[in-house]
Amino acid sequence: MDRISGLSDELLVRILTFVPTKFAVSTSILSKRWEFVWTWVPKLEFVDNKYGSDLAIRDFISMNLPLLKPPVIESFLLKCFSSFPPEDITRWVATTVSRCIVELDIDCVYCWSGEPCLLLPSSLYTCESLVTLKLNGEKILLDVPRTVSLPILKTLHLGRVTYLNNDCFRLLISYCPALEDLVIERNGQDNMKTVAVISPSLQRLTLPIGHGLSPFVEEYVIVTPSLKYFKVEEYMLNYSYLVRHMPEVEEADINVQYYLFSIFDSITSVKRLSLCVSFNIISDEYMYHDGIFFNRLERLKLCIRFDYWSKLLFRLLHDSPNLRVLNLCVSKYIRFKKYELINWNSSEISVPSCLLESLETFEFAEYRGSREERDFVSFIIRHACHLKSSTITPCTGIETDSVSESSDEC
Amino acid sequence: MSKKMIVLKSSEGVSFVVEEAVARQSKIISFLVEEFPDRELPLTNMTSEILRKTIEYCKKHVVEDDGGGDSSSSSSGDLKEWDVKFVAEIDQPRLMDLLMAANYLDIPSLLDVTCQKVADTIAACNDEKEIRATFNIENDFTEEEVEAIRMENQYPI
Repeated sequence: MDRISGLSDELLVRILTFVPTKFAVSTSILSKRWEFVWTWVPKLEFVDNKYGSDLAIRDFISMNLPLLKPPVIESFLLKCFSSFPPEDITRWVATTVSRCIVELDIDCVYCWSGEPCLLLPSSLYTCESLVTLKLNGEKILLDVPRTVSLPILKTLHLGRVTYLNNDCFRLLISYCPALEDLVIERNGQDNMKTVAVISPSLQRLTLPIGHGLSPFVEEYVIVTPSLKYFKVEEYMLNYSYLVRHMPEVEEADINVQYYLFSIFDSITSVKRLSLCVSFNIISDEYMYHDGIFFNRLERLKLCIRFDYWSKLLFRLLHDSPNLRVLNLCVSKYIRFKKYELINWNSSEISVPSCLLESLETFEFAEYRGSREERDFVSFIIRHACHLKSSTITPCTGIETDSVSESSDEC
Repeated sequence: MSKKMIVLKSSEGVSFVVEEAVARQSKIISFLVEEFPDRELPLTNMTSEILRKTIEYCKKHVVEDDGGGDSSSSSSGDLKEWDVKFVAEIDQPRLMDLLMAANYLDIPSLLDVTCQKVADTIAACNDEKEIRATFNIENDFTEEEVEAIRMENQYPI
């Protein structure tokens, strides 16, 4: 017998575990030795349909899923097609749950029209083996039963799913005591008015605030004392929030359109902060509160798309005494005729202590060479005594260059 | 401080002197070292060539936790790249030997790397004929049998 066919069943299965399901199945016609090896592979993915009709995939899954041999299905990744009846998917998921599914990933973004129609089996919500659950698509309707309990679920991604009612999400999160990673994306009509993320175990959270389509004033309640990473994107003005202090947060990616600076109170422990600001409304009340300091902040990346960039930057530099790396990107496509400049050349301007003590790396992308930008760069070069590296990358867009010139005349 | 060394002997009787920390990535060797300290360990079903390769892998992957300056452990990204190169240079018969050695010595990460390489080779084939040719697999099905399996497993063959 050839070398590979001479390997033990266990090793052949292990090899096929690394092969996409499509190829693993195709090994069944190699020889008699191989005919049933693939049926022991505990990982299944049906994500790519370049080679056959949707119906064939559906028949294949319906027929083979219940016959698979592994006692534990480690992962089941399914990209749904419109020709899959939702009831079939419900049944498949129930089958994987009965086989102690560890990772389940259902994506039905482009499926079906009309009302949300894909209900997951209630057994999924009490699955004791589930570690990773990823659901994507507004036609997935989460009807979380009161008995929900996912004792070892660590990773939960909810991409634009629909919730049966406002309480479903809170209920689900409340009974995931091991949850570490939560990613939420939302669609306009997902029936969720209150986003309550109350999780003592959660370490990573990605959350959109609003999406411009919601008919409600949305409420956000975020109580995550163990959080280490926080990513938030804000799309709306009309919401209320309660965000508790997150003493462990080390990294944050924040994308602000309106007044999310209110969230700054809770993330003062960050070591790395990436902040993208594209204000539509400019006034002082949208600046963050006085008395906030980022004493542990070492790396700041600031992307600004509004005229007050220098004012905000000046505040941030003053409030971050241990900053080592500053990465700046100013792309100003929202423009106001009059705005208050920081006079970086003034002899009265106070020099932020991070420049004198800690700043080692300075990068300025999209540099247009306007007077304000030139003054700021020369301010940094003059005062940053510990600077080891500085990189300035000019803006290449012609259109933006002309905008920049006109701003100099203001 | 001198590091503790152990001796591994290949099927040809060639002795390899290896740091114990390096060799202990094999769960079997780790066990044997506990049971039979100060003895050379005969690995009768491993050729010198494969043993040398296995040791090369283990040397690269050893995690030194003595906090010393000369730690050879690399970042995980570098290691992955190194692994890809490591198996890319090996021809198929030797890859099989190495896979079996990883299995026999119980070195899970090396087993994964070698299985992945075999899997990639299978996935790179256009059809079952190419897989058979690549691995010298003899087709002991009749044409009717192949057709029957094809019909059964409609997707995605």
